[in-house]
Amino acid sequence: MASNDNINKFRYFPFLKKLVTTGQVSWETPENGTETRLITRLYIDGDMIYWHPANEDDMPLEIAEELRMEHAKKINRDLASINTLAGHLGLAVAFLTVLLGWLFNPEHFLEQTIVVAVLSAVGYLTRKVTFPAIFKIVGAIVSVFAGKR
Amino acid sequence: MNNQNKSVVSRLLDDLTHLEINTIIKKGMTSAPQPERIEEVLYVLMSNYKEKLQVIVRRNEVEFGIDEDKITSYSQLYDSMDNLNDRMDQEGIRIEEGDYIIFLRMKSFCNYLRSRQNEITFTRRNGIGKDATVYTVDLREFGSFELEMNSRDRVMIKRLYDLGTERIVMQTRFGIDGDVVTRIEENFANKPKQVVLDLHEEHTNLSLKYWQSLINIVKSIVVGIKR
Repeated sequence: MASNDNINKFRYFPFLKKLVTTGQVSWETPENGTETRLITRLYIDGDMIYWHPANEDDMPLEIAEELRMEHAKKINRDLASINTLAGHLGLAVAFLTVLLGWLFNPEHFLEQTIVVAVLSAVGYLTRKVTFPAIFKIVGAIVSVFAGKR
Repeated sequence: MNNQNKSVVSRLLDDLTHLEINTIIKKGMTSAPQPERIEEVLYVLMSNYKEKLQVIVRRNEVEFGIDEDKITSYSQLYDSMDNLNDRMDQEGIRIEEGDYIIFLRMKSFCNYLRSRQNEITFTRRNGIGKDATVYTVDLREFGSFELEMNSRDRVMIKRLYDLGTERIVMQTRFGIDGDVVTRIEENFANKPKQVVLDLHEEHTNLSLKYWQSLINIVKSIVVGIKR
């Protein structure tokens, strides 16, 4: 499943990490055998610059359809990862808020015990997946706050 | 959250209320990366501005001497441009539209640095005068000092560096109130190329998609907390 694959391998991470730490991310697609290349830069606030190659007379060059498609595909793939992240964040926040609201209600002593036990068991059984993920998240957050650019 | 952080967050949110997509035509494109240090970015950008100013003066046959060696800071660059502006006004000289747009971009960046000179501070200033600011400092000495600025200023400077003195043939701006403005450079509008129009549209859609994703993230968090 593409979504699980994304969660486990954190494919969206290098792209998002670069965007957050440097405030910008670029895509570059060169044409094989020529010096022609398409360059796009996205800034964290959504602004974008696209550089189109020009000829010696400063007129825009024609671009092969395949090159254009390849360039757009790269950008689309990375941007899709943000939507995936949005979905994960939404689910995580919703889950946590419901869980915390419920747990902090003193009437639910028995449920509290069961939930903590179940969560611990799930955490233990999925440790091979969750631990690396947590380390990656913590590493990325630390690098952001350390001002790594 | 302290006041400075609040101000950065509020201005970052303000930046999210509009989008700008620029398409630049450039020959001899290489993927040369930006200089690592922001101080060097400022220095290189100023050198490019000075060079462009000379080109503008020469191309438009304005009798105005610019001594590049004497321009070492953005404040001096701004003064030169201001004097040039006065000269053009007095003599009723109109420079080419493309050049004028770049001229305004350069002035606008100087103004930006002037407005931020109290907030952008020095963390290291070897041999740099005590009163120097990011606007007045001699940038040839960029290796002797280090600047401290918030991420918004950093992104802004890097973006202006990217735009440099390049020819922007198409620009689209979206406002959160629904305003959409597309500007097309006159020369390009007279001889448009479909491939560039299509690619600009494609990038506009991609930028909107990213914007939508950001809004979705904020929405997901707010809805989650509200529940």
